[in-house]
Amino acid sequence: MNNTNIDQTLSELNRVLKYLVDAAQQPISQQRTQFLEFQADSGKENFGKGVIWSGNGITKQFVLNRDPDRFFSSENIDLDKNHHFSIANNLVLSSKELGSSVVKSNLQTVGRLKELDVDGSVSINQYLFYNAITDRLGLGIEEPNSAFSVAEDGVEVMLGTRNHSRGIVGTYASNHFDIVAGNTTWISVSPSGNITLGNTDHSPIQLSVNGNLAIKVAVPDPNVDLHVNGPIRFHGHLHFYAKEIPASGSYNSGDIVWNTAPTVGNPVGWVCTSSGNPGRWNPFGQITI
Amino acid sequence: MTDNLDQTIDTITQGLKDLVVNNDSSEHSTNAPYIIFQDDPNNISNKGIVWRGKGWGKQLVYNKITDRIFCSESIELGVNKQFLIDGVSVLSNTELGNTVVKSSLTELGILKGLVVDGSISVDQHLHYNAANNRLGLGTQEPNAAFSVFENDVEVILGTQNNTKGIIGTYSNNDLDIVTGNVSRITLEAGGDIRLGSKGAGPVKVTINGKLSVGASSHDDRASLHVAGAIRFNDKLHQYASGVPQNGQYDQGDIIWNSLPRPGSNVGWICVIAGNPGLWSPFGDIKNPIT
Repeated sequence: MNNTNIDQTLSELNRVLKYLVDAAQQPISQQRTQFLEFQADSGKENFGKGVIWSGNGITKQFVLNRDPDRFFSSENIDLDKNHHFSIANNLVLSSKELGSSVVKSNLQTVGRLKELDVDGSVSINQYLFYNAITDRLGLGIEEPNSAFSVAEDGVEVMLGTRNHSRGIVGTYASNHFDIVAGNTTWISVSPSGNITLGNTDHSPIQLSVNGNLAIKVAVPDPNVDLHVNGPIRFHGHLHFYAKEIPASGSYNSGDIVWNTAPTVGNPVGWVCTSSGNPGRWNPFGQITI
Repeated sequence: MTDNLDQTIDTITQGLKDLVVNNDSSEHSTNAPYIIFQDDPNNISNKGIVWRGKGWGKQLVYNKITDRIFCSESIELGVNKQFLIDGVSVLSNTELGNTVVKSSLTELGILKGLVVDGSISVDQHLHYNAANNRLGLGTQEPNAAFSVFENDVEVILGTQNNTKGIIGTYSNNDLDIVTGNVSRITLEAGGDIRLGSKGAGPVKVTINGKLSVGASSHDDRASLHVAGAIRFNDKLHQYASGVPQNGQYDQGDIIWNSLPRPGSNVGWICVIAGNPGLWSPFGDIKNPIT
């Protein structure tokens, strides 16, 4: 060993000793002017290394783990007030909000929402369905047959439109449809189309027509209030028109046939004076000049 | 001696180096409560912990410019641990903290319940307006508590006032009441009502009650009270004090005498069609029975 080597060695020793002395003079902390660096051997990875807090109880750690590369913290991480978690300088979580980039979740409960805006379909309790493709809403039915349908007790009630000029309400399948007031049915439509106005379980109703009433008439006469295409029956007695008395059929006393081709000297009609088939008929209302 | 000196110095040097290396290592036990990164008080940026080895260095360093601690890796917490801000949990393995009240989430899981204080919009088609408590399907401004707007027709379901519920069309459109998806009753836009459908067979209409047509007050003695003329079997029946002076009439049409008295007749019957046609009296009225 020559003198130069000795000087170099001593110089190195001095540097190291000075470092140790400096370090020893820091009583309350490790003070660094550079990174705290965990250096792996050349070409090797550097997992499982990091900061360890040891003492009584389980060791606390903040170390680098693999698969995927991540830091593992054995403890909660608490940010100071008004600070937030961000990814690539983009806020993802503050104490008050999720970042706008966080769009997907599997949340099962949410708070009391101030508003709700949904782009797609909605299903509630597997009972209320809004289909974003058909734009239809079903209560108790997933594939409603109108814009809005209620399916209950095996009956589908529809509310929607038929075309560009017509709205509809009623049943889709062969079911009755009742229109109620005071939770009592007052108009009932049968599956075959028969209509009952009023309710036999209640007092007779008063049905008023503010206009003209036509029954089986293709072109109603605007000059009459009631236009019936065929015979009528009132007070239990049949009234109809014919050229002469009936030759067959069951008739009751008091039924009247009006003469459809009246002429002077002939009767205005015939009245059934004895029930039968066709019964006995007598002329009445002799037409005079 | 020189060799011994060299050996001694080498040993001491290596020992001291080991001390230095160990001092830098995380495995070094220290009672120092903090690791303080400090150089110039005005320049504490880009200091922190670095893991250097194969591949990119992993780092947890402070950046003064952005005033944040940058972490190059994901952070994984231990079981049952949480992220907190100011001592309050904001995210655990199973839930977002209660203080987190705002989001832009576009996907949620299967919700256990849903309570909304304000308005709701679904697919820009179903709208619940919290201001007027109305629900519109296909319309943002329904004209009833619930409206369906489709094919340019608005069908409304709601109430008219404190005593009346309503169902029908809002604008100038017909409403069909259907069974079996076939129209049975049609309320035309102008108010005309059709019972039974033109395309279907005749229906039976039963009235459990009394029917009045054009009568301002119904005569309770009559099941059918018609204020004006009637026509049945296509023959006209009307009341007048005499035969008509004009108008088209058909054979068999009858005019009932509105002023009958003994010696006159109960009515007139059209025996030849025309305008007004030929009319003959019928039904001589005799003297009253005493």
